[in-house]
Amino acid sequence: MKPPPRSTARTAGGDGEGRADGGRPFPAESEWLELSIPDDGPGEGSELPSRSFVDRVVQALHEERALDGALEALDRDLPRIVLQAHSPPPPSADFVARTLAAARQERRTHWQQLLARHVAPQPSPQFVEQTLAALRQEAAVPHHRGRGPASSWRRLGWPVLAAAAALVLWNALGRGTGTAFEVQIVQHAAPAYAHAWASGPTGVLRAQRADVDDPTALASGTPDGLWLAFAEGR
Amino acid sequence: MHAAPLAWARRTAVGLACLATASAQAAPAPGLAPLAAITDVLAGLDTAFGRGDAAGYVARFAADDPTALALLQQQLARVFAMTTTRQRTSVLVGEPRQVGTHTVVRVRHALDLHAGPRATLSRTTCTEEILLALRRAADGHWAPTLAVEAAPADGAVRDDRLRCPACNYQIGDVPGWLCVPLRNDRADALEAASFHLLGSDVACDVSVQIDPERRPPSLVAQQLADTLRQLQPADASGAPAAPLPKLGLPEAWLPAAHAAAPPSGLRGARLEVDWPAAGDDSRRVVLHVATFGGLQHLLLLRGRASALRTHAAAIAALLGSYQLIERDRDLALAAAEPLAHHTGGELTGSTYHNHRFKVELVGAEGWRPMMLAGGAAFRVVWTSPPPAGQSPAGHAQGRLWLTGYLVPPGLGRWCEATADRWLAQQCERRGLDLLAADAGTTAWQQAVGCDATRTLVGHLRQPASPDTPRRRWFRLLLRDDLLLVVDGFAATAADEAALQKMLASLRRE
Repeated sequence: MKPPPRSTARTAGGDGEGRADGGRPFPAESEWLELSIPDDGPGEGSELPSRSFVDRVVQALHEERALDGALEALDRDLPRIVLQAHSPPPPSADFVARTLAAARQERRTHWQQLLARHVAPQPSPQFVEQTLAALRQEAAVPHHRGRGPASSWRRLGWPVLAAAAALVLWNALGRGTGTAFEVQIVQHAAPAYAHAWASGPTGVLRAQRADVDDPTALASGTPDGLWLAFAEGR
Repeated sequence: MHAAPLAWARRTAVGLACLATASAQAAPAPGLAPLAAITDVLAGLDTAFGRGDAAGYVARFAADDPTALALLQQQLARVFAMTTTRQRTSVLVGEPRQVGTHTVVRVRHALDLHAGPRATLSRTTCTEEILLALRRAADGHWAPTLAVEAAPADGAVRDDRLRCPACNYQIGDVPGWLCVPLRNDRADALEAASFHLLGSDVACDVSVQIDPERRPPSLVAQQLADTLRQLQPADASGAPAAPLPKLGLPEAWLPAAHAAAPPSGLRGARLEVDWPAAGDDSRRVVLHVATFGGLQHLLLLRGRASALRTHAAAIAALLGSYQLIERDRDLALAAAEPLAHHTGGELTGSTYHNHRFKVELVGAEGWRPMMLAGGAAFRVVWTSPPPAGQSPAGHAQGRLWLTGYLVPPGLGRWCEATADRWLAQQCERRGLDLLAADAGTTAWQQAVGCDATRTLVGHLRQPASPDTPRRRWFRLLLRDDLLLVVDGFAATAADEAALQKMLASLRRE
């Protein structure tokens, strides 16, 4: 409870000790903390709610909750009763097509999300080295009877090529291009959009996210002025 | 046997110590760069710009942040590729000031650009502003270290602190950090700024978005991280052309200012993303997402992983300065106030009214409107009600978007040619063919309340599902200062009637 404005207290009695409407002396601000707590009972003139009032409120709350529970139970039963009163409508002509398309889309989205988070590991340098060493060792072993050098080369050719490809892949992927991701991301964006000319990655990131969130909307990005003016080239 | 390597290591250590001592002794006393030195730097940069020499331009920098410089070089190369001749004059705006050991100035470039006959325009003149940081080198001369495009000052950034009462947050005013207000179209956000820790490659991009779905921050962080991964370049076969980033797991996070007693409704999450690289060059992004009702704050911290470790204290100080201004703001108003402040728009029932741009569109009965935030001046979407007695799931619904585009810097004003060009770009991106011969398509014509208007019909080449509507309507309203684009599609005959009514209801006073 907020104390009344200072001016009100002073003007009530003219000397700072005014009288409340009931005729009781109105305490000064400095006295408020010293006041005794009034009786809790329903005595006449008491400003606190009586115990019976509190009990009635609590009882009313209990009753309201019980009623809510009964209504919820009724709601649970109601759809079943209503549904039993109607027969299911015949499926629409495109029901199967729509259901299949929705299932296919859900499956595609699921796999995209899954694959995006689990990328096949790159071959380690140890793997590449061990593979090449094993191939060299095998090549050093004398040929089996009935197999000429040509078949041996054919036998070795594909694994060596595969290992070499793995080595190239590792070099390409594992070492990086030296270009920071911010630059790669901004390069990814079409220069028609203002965010493609940004000094940081946030705009491209936000725009791409908006595209994913709502693939039916036109791009959320805004046009870049220089692109609009000069995009056709020199 | 090990004597030689030990001796080498000892010699190297002593050499490095001497070098560090000499470097410390030669370090210039902190102070502002003299105006003459700044003017010389700007004149040199303007000359390189005029020559169209992007490599020469960035070679003048003594970069603390090679990534920022690479982005700058990329932007310059694009401008030079599109223009035949160019001229630039730079002037200082305001007084130089000191941030750490750097001098920072706001510079306004006046550009005069020319292009060949194939371009939409043959010439354009415009201005742009940047914040330029300079540092005194060991030999005493002042060299630029960082140049970042900045939004014109609007009072939201003062003393390197960004404070927006409408978006209910403030951050910054931390020693060593330079705050660069960004154009919202560059950040595709309601509001944005970048904080650069001068002398390092550490930056923190702050942006504000509105999320009508009120997704939890952990989900937002996860989705943004997934998007970062999707944005990695691919080669011709679709395979990644660079190492894919490693995504961490989202974890609960709260701003330090509110960690002890979080305001009701404030939620936060953080997530780390690492780009592996050889040696010390691996880069890291730490996404910090805080949500308050439909209001979303993103703090995207980035830099080399080693630099983030080295400057952990400075980073903690910046993140510690981030806080809500009003802790007990009504969550229902958390998104509405920023939208009203930054876009000037509001919804009354299903009708959108924008007081700032004097625009109104009356929504059809039952169509659910939603205000969005991004780089455009404003954007609203309406969704048609699902078929009677059915839930929206599994049923195509009609939709209609209203987007207001300000004149992009560098263009001067909107005209019919640039408006058509922009719509063609947007349609191409979404796989839509504009049908010139369709009965619904009209040429540009004069209209009340705007300079010109036209209606177009598009056709979706590859619908995502059989029930995806293929026909799409566009209506453009053009004035020098604003381009309005209304586009939408109907899923049912009832939708079609409502859609046409809404298209026709667009007004600009």
